[in-house]
Amino acid sequence: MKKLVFIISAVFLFFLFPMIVSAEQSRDELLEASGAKELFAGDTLEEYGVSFDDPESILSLSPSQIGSIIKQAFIDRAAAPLRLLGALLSVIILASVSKGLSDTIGKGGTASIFTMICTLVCVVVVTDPISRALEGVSDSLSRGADFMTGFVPVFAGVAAAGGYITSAAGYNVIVLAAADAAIQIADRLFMPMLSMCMCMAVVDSVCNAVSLEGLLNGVKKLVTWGLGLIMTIFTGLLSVQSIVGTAADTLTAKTAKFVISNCVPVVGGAVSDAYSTVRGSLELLRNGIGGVGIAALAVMLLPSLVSIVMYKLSLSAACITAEIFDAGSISKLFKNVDSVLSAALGVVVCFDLMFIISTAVVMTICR
Amino acid sequence: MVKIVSVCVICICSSLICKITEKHSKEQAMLLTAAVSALVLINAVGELSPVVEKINSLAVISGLDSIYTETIFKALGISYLTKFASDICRDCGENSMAAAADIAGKLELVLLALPMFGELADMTAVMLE
Repeated sequence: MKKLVFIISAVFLFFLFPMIVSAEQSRDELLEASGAKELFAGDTLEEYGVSFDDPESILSLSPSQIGSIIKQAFIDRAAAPLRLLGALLSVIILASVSKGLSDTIGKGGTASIFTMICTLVCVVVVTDPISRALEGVSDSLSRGADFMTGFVPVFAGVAAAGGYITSAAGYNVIVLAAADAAIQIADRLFMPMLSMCMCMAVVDSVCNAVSLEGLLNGVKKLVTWGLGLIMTIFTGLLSVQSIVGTAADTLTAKTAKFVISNCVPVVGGAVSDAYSTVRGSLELLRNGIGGVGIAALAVMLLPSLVSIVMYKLSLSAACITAEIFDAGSISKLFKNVDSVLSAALGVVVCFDLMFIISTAVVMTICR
Repeated sequence: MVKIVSVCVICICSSLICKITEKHSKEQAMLLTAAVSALVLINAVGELSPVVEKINSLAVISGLDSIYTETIFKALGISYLTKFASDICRDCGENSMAAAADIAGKLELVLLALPMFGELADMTAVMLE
């Protein structure tokens, strides 16, 4: 009898001092605890009001704003490639004018050395900005990987809090490993290889005795196929793991809902619905953080991407002009350097897509 | 237009004079050939200045360092002089002297390009670091 009175008193007191909680409150606490507020989305996105403090702010980013971000990146990065194009056009015109005048020099004699000097001027003009652009690629890859190292645990934490523990764990392990591999590969494999290719491109154009064009094309193919293979393995592994993980997580969530609705008397159904609401709120938070993360990474890698594209356009234009003016060795130089830039572009796009797709896969599958 | 006509007339007349004097004094004919060739070359170089100025201004607009345009023009000058000297030597029947002039011209061009080779080597070293 005493026991019954104690239980009834306890239930009475429990309902006398209710603790009001809401999905909004738990969302803010989770945002704070996950460390999302410590992440920085970058100056450009912050200017447009998109930040990790308010992940839903990604919805306010309109297509015209995205267009203006890309446009601004092109404007900021267009000056150096256009200057390079101008300088190259000057050298090509100078070389062709000189060549026209130097027809009297004849095929033999000093003509070959004169042509080599013209090519050498182009090489010196091209090498400096292109090697700086390649350094920019390496830097942006490292910065992107650093960002992912900070972002992935936060995103995985929020996904795990939403009930997708298995998928979040898989994402965390794979993407962190990929980010680390990206830093290592960028610093120790791709950059030295691209620098070597650049040197080979220079030697191939200056020295007619050797032809390294085949080797350069081979390296370009190797990079393209290698990146394709890495992308396929990475995306496939993550997708399979996420699909399997999501099935396990969904089963756990459904079991939890079933237990709540059946074992909690009277308000079981309401508590079960509340659980679903909280999960929905956390999903919204997770997708918001994922969206801001993808946007931040894309904006972070955009400048080097734009820079490489602009240099490629400049070199293509210079190559066409060199071919029009029949400057064979100069156009060969531009084609070779263009191959190196294509490989660099492939590396940036591959790593950018790898991180974006992995985040998007977790955002899409975990529903 | 008038200038080129006079240059052509001088060249043709000199050639005819050379043909005539060749029978009596081959040395004088050679001397005349060299003198007229030098005169025409100097005259032609004077005409090049507007072209050089135009290309230089184009290079300045595009931000190309003037040292490169100077190098190309110097190389062109060396090539012309070498060709001129070696042709005169060949006309005199001195093929070995013509070859020596060619070699000297090539060496001069290599010396001219040497700073750029150095610059290129430095850039390559930086890239490979």
